[in-house]
Amino acid sequence: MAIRLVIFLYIYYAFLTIWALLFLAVIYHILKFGLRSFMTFALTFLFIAVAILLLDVSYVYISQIDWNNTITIWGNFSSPIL
Amino acid sequence: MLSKYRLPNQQPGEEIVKIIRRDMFILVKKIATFLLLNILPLAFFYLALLNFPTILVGELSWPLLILGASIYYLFMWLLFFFSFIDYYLDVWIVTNKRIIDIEQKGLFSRVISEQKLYRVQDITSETNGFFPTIFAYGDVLIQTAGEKERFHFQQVPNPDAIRDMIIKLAEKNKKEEKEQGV
Repeated sequence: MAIRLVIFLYIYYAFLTIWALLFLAVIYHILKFGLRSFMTFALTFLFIAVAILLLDVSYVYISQIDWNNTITIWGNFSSPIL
Repeated sequence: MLSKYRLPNQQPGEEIVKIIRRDMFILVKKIATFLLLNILPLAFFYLALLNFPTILVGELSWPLLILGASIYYLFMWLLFFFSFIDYYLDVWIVTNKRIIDIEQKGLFSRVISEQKLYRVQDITSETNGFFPTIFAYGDVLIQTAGEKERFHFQQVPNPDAIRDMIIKLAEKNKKEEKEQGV
């Protein structure tokens, strides 16, 4: 059975969309209901900065993969899928 | 956004005496759990690499590993953020006239209640367990004359000192209320 690798990327994008929506909801909460202080803004900045860093590292690795490849999972046991 | 200089329904002459959050140890526990959940997959990955050395060059395994790791760490960060919000947005504000209880229950539920200090009838502080005793944190329960169930300050630092402080403030507030009434 042949599977296009890009399908996994689409599934990843679906998870990423859910993640982004939840992340925005949390940012909204801390800014809306947090106490107005330097600490609140510093922590919000920290959470956003680390999230951007994680997304950037993910992008670096994901962009190195050729997602147009098709993988044969069953029927070709000599294929180095692992 | 809540400002300590402009409280909701602030009364004339009302000043913040103390802003209370859960004890720092609760936050440390959350951070330790987060760090452990970050390290565990690395240990698992190391073991997998020992048993399946081709995992890093596989046509399917490498892309899946990258996507899986990315999703895992992004959601771990999000969960830690959720957990932190739960800690950070639970606040008890004690002023010279009332107690304001702000509780974040999950992401989509928030309860804010307040009670006048002169209505306070009974205050109990509790320290139960090994870590609460070592790190001096616990609960403070405040029974008021109102219909609402008693206020519950959970896992706050130095519960005995907070109880004493509220008792003094409540007595002072009751005297002031009486003088104004006369």
